[in-house]
Amino acid sequence: MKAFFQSRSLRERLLLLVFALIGLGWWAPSSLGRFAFLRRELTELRTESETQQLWFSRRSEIEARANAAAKTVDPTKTLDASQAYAELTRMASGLSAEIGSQRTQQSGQFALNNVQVTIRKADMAGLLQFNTQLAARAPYLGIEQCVISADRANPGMQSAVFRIYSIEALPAAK
Amino acid sequence: MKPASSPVLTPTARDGGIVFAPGEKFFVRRVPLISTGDAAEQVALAVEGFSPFPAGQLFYGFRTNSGRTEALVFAAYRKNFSAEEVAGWSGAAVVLPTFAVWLGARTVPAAGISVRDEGGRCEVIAWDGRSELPAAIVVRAVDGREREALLTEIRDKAGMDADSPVSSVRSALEITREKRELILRLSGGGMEAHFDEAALTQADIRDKAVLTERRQTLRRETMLWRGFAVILTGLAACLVLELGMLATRLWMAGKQNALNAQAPVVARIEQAQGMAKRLEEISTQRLLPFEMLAELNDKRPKTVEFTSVTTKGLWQLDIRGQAANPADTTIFESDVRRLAGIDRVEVLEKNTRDGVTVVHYEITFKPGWQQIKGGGV
Repeated sequence: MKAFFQSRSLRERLLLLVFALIGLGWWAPSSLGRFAFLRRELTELRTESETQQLWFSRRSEIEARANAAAKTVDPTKTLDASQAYAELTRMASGLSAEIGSQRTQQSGQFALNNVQVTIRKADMAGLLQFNTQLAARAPYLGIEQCVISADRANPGMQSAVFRIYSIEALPAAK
Repeated sequence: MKPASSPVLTPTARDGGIVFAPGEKFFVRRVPLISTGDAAEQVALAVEGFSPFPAGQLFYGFRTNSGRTEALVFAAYRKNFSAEEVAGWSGAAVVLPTFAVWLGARTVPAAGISVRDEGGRCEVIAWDGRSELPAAIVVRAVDGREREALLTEIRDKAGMDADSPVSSVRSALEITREKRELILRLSGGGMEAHFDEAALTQADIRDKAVLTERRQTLRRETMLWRGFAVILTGLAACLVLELGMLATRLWMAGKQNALNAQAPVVARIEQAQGMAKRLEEISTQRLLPFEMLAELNDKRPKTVEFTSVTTKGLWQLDIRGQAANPADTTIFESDVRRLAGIDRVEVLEKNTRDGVTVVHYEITFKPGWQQIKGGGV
């Protein structure tokens, strides 16, 4: 290569140098940019792989834990979304309540349904009675979150929004 | 008639090799130098002084001793060299006289005369025992019968006695390069001359202006080549990088496919983990907002009213309220903090306007707070 280069005339050598420089100036930044992007992708892939490996390494432990947790639940006392809806409607009878439900979490033998109960213009006694009935069905029905606010227009009255979970036993997979 | 000169001695001269010009064409003088001055300028002056020809009509070079206190100058009349011969020097790295091997002794040789016969040429070198440089050099293309005459001539030139020791060698010249030095060595040993870049420049007999121009051209060409080589290396590195990235992408595609295939299984494990955790929580801990509120209500002064209570997780209440008496909010906070089941009370907001104090608390209960206060769930 050196002999070839040095056998060219000065003008040819300068042209070769300029063209090579332009080539390098175009190629190198492009390559380095894509290399940096590839490194990020590689890091993400490695992280994803390590995460999966971590889950697989704990698989037997998690399955044993899930089985042990499942044994603490009596399937006959669980409520599916419709049953939970009906039960909460019964508990809230006499109160001005709106009830809506949706399934949120499911795994293996069980599912957790979320039901939102909104009670308006209720006195504290009514809310406490609702809470007492709810506590009687624990842990198959329970409060996940609640907001109680005073009704400014009606002193002594409250409004409450409950997010209530119900545990549902799923039929065994064939 | 122009004397015939010897041909270029090294066949690689045109490729940057070394050319040896016939030593018999040179006349040699040892001149003193001022060691702090520029040796080349001093030698140029000396050449003009002792040469029978103008300096412009000479090819000359020189070699200084290690102390730079003297130089051995060798010069030849240009017309003694044919045009073809001079043209043959243009590609050479350096042009030296054939006796250059005697010009680089690192120690001071003993006084005496060295004689070397090589290729029909006889080199006679006189040493005075005081300098690394020869006191005189005579080279002639002669046969053995004229040798005594040469010895007599050099004794006269060097001012030596007739009984000066004479040593003869018939060694060929060996040329090597080590650590950016040119080394000329007699194959039988006995003499070795080292020339670094500066010494080669001084000893090169070619026209000094031509040499300067040649050095500049060489420097420019070297820079051009080095620049081109660096760019080529960069391009090669880019190519290697591209190939590496291509290979990595292929490997990553395979790996991603494997991960995608495993993803549903991993999702099921994650769900099982989440569900197990949730069931464990549900079976052991429950959110008790009314019980927590009742605990706080016991400490609430009559003037403090809660306007809203929001649960945050299992153990935290976010309470907004108002009080007709600002001092009562402080009493309430202190009393609540003293409760055994309370972990912390944070006052996020407290503003008083027109006699009404608006408060915003974040109250955190200790996990299992009902057992702590002695109650049961």
